[in-house]
Amino acid sequence: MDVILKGKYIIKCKIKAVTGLHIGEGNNSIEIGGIDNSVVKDAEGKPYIPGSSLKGKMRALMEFAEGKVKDNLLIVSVKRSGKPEICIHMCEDIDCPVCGLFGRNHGKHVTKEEFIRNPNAEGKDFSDAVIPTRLIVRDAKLIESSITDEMKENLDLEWTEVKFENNIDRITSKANPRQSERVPAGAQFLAEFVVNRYEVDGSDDGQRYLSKFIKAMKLLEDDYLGGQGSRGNGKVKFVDIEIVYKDSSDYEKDSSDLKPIAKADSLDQLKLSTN
Amino acid sequence: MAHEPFESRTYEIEVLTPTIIGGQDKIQSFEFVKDGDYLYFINFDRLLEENLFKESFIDELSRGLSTGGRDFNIKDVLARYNIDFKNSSKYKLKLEGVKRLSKEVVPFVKSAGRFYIPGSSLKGAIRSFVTKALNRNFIQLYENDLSSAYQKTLNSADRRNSVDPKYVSKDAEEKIFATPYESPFKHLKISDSDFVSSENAGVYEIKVMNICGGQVKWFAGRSNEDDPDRAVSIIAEGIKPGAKLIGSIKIEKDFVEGNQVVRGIKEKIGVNATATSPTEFLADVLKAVSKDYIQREINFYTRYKQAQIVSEYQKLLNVLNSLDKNQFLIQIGFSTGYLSKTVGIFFNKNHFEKLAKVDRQSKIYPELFPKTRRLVFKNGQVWTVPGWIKVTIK
Ligand SMILES: [Zn+2]
Repeated sequence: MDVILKGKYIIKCKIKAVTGLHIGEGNNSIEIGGIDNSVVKDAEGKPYIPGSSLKGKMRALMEFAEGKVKDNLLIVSVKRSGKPEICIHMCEDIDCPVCGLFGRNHGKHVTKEEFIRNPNAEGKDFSDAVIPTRLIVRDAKLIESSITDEMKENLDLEWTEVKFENNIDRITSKANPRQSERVPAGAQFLAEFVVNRYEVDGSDDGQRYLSKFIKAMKLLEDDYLGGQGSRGNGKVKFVDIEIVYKDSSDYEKDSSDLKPIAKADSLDQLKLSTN
Repeated sequence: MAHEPFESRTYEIEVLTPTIIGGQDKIQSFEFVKDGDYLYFINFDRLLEENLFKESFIDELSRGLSTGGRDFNIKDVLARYNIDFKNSSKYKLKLEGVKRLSKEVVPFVKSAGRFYIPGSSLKGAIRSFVTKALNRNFIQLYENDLSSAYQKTLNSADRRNSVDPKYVSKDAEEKIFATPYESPFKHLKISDSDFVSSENAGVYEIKVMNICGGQVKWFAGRSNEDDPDRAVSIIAEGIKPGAKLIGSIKIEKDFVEGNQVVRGIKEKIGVNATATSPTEFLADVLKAVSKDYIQREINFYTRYKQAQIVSEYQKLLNVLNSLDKNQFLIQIGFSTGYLSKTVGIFFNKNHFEKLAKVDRQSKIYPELFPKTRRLVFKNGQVWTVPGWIKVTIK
């Protein structure tokens, strides 16, 4: 397969936490102060959104939206005690928008369908379809000024708050409280995404994957990011969006005067010019 | 695969009666100053920063605070140093007919100082009301849990072996709604609401009504009094009736219908709900539960001649009867009582006899339980019941 890099779409924007945001550390580390459910922080102790969290969530939403959540289209990514515990979509369809944007892995993959028939199935290699992943997602850094002095005065910790939730026993009405740390609503993060434009065996991507990526952004706005999303957290909005296209030839020139191909305050105002 | 709409919809909460979603630590008397009809909540960070060079003030303040605030009147201290508490407060709230302040105020939950209704609270209230709509076989599972906890308590001489009152219904919950990963409630997503200004919030006075020997009394610490003026007051921050809050909600088809992994709530429901859209189905269920619950409370308060509360509930019933298909009423938050949060509405004397053994910390009178209610007072009079909201899904 011949793959040529035609250029890069660079999407710069801010991610605004519309409700409190909890992206957990994913382990059971206990912070000073005893918060048992803390958020990921960078080396300076500031919360951030890991690119992997954003990418993973967007991939999962795209799988649904593109109709890829079917037993014969899901591969078993984590199995436990003979059960397919975590399944993600991956396939060998060269035109698949999910795999095309978010990538495929080398190695052998067993579909959920095969796994249910035979948990020891050997699986199939998608190597023939593997091309470099088009989407790159950077870690999104906190914009410090988005947490105003007034908000800071009311926070439990420097950048974050502690939220308490109760589970109530339906027979005795006794409450069982839990606490978790979250970034308060209103916080903004500086995000950057890159969508590579390829020419694969003579066929040019054009804006196809950029459009798919914008679809993924819209899906995320109507869902949530991070933990406890079904109970209120993690509603996000993309704001101050700017998309720049850099043709591969631009990398040989001074690229300081590249003009954005699209600019908008929010996704519903975003219009791509077609060229 | 069934088509699932991806867009979330908007919910609007209209507060009908003062609604209190309790935050964590109580606000102590040295943290607020009363001035006329308002409470000003002191911002100590700013107060200290702006008066850093008034050494004796700082000394006096730290001495006062270190004694836990007893015999310490912050208003007097500030006045002595010519400090205007209005400039050193985070926010002020109107006292909504509060006759007597107490030493502490129950805070409303806030995010970076701003009032809102957490999605978890609305979702929790919906879950509690859906539980009350379950069909008889599922309610039986709760009764079984209660019986087994009771048996365990009887059989264990050592208290430590008895069942923790926080987890008595664990088995039933898992049998009915499965694990969090497989629960139909995974398909009900409710965001936190937006923020409301402190003008939409106020300070409310709550007293505890207690039925003693068939008569209404008011809880006053060690005794129960006939005169509510002598009763203990609970002071709490709440959102005012009329305030509106919005957020987003997704009621997925799987929540109602179920899928390969999860059985939906539809097949578990015992009340009459016929709507086919997920939103209208849920609204049907919640309306049926609220109606039954309100009717039972009207009967209770009628028996004890609380005309004001009966008329308040009658108003709620009128609102309920005039709702659209995408609207429901629900009770939410602090001081809403045992019946609003549990399946105890279906329990009788036998159940409460068992509950009294299982939950030794609470006073349970099997003949009449719960025999107390928390009511909002205004200008020394019984006014209304807390926590009723109207939800519209748009
Ligand atoms: Zn694919």
